[in-house]
Amino acid sequence: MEKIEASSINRYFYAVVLYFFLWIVLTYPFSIQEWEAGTAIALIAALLSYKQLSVSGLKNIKRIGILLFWYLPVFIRELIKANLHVAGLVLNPKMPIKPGFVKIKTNLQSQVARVWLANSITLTPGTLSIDIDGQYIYIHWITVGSTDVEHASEEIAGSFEKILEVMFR
Amino acid sequence: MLDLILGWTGVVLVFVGVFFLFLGALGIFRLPDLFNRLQAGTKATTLGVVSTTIGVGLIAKGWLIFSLALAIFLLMTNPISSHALGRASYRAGVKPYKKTNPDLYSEKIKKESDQK
Repeated sequence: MEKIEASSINRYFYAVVLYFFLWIVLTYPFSIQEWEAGTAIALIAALLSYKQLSVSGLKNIKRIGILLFWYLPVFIRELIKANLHVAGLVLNPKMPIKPGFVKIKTNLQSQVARVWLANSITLTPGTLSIDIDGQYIYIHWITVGSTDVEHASEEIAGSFEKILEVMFR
Repeated sequence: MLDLILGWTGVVLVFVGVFFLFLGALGIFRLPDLFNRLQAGTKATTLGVVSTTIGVGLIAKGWLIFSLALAIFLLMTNPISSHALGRASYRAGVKPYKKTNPDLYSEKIKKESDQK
């Protein structure tokens, strides 16, 4: 089920790139000296920890690109919608909630992709992922729309599943 | 001029963030059970805190890049913590609100305990 690992050298270089970028961000007022020290430290730190960091290596850089330019706009839109939804519920004197636990089915194969999907679901309107069991994710839904598995999957996960499918191909 | 616009955008973002944080607190106060409260808590605090940190970054520009990094870490970790809280409390026997319908998760827990 899990895809084949990338080669060690590939994973090592991914770790170097990531650590170097992190170093630049955290030592913000940019200067050449910081960059030199960052390069040296990234090379050493990556050697110690690339095995734990990632199995798919440099492919992740493409994923971060998709994450920033495709996933993030959709995500922010959904997050704002979720907040307006909660605001509407909380400020309404009658509080029209109709909670329930439903389950949805996902077609994503990779474990990491499922984690991302569950995380995204938590931050979209009215849903909170509670548990995951193989292909099924159990969700607490504050205003239940549909109890049917297929229907609920489309309504809750639809927009994210397409993006994550491309991202973790 | 640009400084002024960015500064005021920051102020607006901080206000929006504070407003949503307030709504989150109100939601925790008003909603009936743990799971519903967790929902209000997670969503409102995520947008509230992210918006506030980015707003502060825009007001004090030296901190912008740090506040963005902070926002990214919050976005990645906040849903995980609320998921863990929700799952643990359900399994520890916290009863959901009485109008909760359907409850497909209880079926799964029942199946698991039957297998044991």
